Amino acid sequence: MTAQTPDATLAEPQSLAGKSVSLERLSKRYAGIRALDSLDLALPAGAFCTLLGPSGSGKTTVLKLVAGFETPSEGAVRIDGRDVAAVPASARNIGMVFQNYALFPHMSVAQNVAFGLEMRRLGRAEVARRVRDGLALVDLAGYDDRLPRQLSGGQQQRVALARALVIRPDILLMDEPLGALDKGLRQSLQVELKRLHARVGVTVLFVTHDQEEALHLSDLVAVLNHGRLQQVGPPEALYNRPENTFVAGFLGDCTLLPGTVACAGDRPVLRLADGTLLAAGRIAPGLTAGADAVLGVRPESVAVSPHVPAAADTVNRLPAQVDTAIFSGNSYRILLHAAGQTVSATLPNTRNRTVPPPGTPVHLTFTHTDAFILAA
Amino acid sequence: MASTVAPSAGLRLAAWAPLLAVAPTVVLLVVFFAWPVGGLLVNSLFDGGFNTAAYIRLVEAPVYRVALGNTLMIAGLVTALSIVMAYPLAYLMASTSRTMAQLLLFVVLLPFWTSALVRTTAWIVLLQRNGVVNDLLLGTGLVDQPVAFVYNLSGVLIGMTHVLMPFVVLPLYAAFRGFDRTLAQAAEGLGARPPSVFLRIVAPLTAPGVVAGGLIVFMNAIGYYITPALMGGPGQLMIAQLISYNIQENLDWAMAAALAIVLLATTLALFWVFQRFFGVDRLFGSSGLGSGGGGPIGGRHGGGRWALVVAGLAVGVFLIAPILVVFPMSLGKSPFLAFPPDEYSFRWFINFFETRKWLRALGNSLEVAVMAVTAATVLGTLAAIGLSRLGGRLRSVLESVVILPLIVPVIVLAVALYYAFAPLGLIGTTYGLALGHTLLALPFVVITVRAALKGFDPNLELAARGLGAAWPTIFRRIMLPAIWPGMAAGAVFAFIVSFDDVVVALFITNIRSRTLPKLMFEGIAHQIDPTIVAIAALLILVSLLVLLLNLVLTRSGRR
Repeated sequence: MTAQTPDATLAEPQSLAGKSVSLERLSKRYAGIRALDSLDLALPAGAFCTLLGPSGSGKTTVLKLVAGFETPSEGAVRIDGRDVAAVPASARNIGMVFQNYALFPHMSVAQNVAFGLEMRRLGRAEVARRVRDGLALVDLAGYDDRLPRQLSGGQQQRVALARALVIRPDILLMDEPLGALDKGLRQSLQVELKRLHARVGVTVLFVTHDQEEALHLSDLVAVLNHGRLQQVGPPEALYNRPENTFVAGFLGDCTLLPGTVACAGDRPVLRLADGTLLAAGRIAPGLTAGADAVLGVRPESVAVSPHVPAAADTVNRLPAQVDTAIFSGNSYRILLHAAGQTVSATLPNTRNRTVPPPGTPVHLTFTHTDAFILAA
Repeated sequence: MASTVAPSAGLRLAAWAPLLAVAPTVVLLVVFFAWPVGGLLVNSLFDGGFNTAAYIRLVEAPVYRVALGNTLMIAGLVTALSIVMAYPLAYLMASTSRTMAQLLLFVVLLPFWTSALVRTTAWIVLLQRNGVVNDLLLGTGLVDQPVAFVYNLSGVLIGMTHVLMPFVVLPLYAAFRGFDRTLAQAAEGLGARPPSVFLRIVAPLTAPGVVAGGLIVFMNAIGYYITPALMGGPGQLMIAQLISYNIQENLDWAMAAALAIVLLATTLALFWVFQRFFGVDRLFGSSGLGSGGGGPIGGRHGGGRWALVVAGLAVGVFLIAPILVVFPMSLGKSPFLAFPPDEYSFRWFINFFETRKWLRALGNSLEVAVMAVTAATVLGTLAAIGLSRLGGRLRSVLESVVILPLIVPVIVLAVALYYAFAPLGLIGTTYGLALGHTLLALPFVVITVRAALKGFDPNLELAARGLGAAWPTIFRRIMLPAIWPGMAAGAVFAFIVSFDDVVVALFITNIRSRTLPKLMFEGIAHQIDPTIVAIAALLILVSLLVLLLNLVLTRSGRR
């Protein structure tokens, strides 16, 4: 986080080291309904952390509790180890970018960005300087006198970001800030956000329901569902080693084949309903032989071949039949029938690639280390 | 060739039809309002040759100068009080549960649609020397002698604020409902404490609603007659009272005309400002007929919020208390008003229905109301349909003209009618009064029918025409089913306007044709006897009924 480009001095990153946040058994109930259920989460200072989950999973509730817009029903929010229950939102020094940006419609861009600085009673010259630097940081120099409604969605988003950053927050909260933008803009802003974070180094807590966005941006991803934490870890770990079927299915595509555990141990094996045995590299803890389970494998790990592959006991083999192929630019996604289930495979779109037509009998192979067994 | 001539003739008729529909309303307004106002203007300037003596006296004579100052000061204070008190109430309405919000809306609307005369009566009963509040204060030993609440400035302010505050509460409530609460959170997150959040974010964003409401309050307040006349003292003389005095006691028409012209000019100037900045539609929205969108706002329940809730509830109590107190008091047995009464009886209700003068006044009121409602509903519906078919400037000009009776102070309308009726021999007749009430009620019908027409898809009419229907059939089978709730709501308001009117009745009825409110007014000006309180209770019940009826009508209109 200390890598600085020459213009990084604009944001004075040295003052934005960020503070650590820890959530301890944090719960929130609204009229008896649990929006958040005993969440434990530790965010290291300066990390870019993402809360990922479907709508209604409690992500936004976490942000509101950290920001101080809501009070926890149980548990605590600690910032740098200090419980902030008694600290009002206005005194937490947290920057927040709202889903709808919440730009003050009656104030110009500069007035919006200056608001938090004025609340801190900074001198006029200091406010002007930081507003100028803040707008330059998000590439909006010269837009000072525009009103929010005169800006595009992406520009509004950047004003909201500048407004949150100029107060030099200890923590930056972002509630689906890219959700309202179209795909191209979203991707370019993702890159900008990532660069900006590398430059200013603030602790970021980012909320999204878009798994790709979470994977692109984060140092740490926490997956939530129904108000409960499902798994937390670096994006690679979550993608490669999901601990339950929700995480496996929510992050990326995953084929889940139901069966029973034939063998637990170091070389776990799952037996499908038709008797086929499939080996996996990992098995979820607590699963013993005979338990109902699923074997998960990512489409990109599955190879499709017209020939019977050479025997190797580390490779799973399944006879299959092509059902349909979906072209998606850089690759084909192929759905196949195998062992009474639907399996999906990805074929890269390279030159001379031919896609077998529907009905073609083929053979599927995948290495056992690419497969995992999870509780059903 | 014939086939090309026929449609163009039809087209020409179609182009004139909207104007024909608006015409009766406009003609009425010209003959009975614009022309007599012109007459007043002439009267004020020609008193045996052209002279501006009346206007000079207006500025130089202390009594007029003081009254002008009083009028502006009282209107200003009432506007300020209305705004300050409306904020906590509107905030509470927008931030509380749905049921509570509905209840509070009812608390605002019931007084709003209860006659100002009834409310003034209730306040006098509550606040007079031996009234309910003084009894309480003396009883608890908080004061040694009765506090003078009424017949002075505080009486006028209390009475007028009570009557006019809903004009601010309703638009402010709509503004709060549309308010994006994340803006307040964003400000808080940026370090703003509650006072800053209010001053920098909430106040500027709700300002348009408040300014619009405040302007309506001020416009109404400068022409107010009943409340200051009954609840004020000699020190609170306002322009409207001086107009009345000059016509009825002093017989100085030039002076009365000059005062009326000044009042009218001020009101129209304010209306012009209002229309310039907010548009006439805003006025329609604040009649209590529409409701805002958006969800309830909320926030952390801190100490500041509780203070706001208590303040909001206090304002709610202020609005509803006088209305509620009337009921037990009307059921007392003793000829002296007491709260709570020692013994209960229907004596004063029975007295009302057994006394000839009251019954006769009630009969007059009903007769006038039926005539006025019928005329206003028919003419207003026609005008509304006509207006909806006109385009551009012509429409906005005619729209402003048609709602003029809602804008100009009633006392000016009353004087104009008096001036127009005298040579026609209409003074003292129920027809004359019904004509006056028709003018007063027309804007309400136009507004409600216009609102209903906004939800009417003009393509339906084209579809019907394409299927071969002629205009009368289209109106009866297609348009009427869509707009009848609007017409009915307009008729209901027209009834209230006619049934509650005092000011026009004061000028153009005599002892034979006087209406119920006029008789009440005469009674209140002397001594409030329990029969008047019983009538007030009955009138509140009528308002309640009307409010519920309107609720049902808007519901069925929305379906």
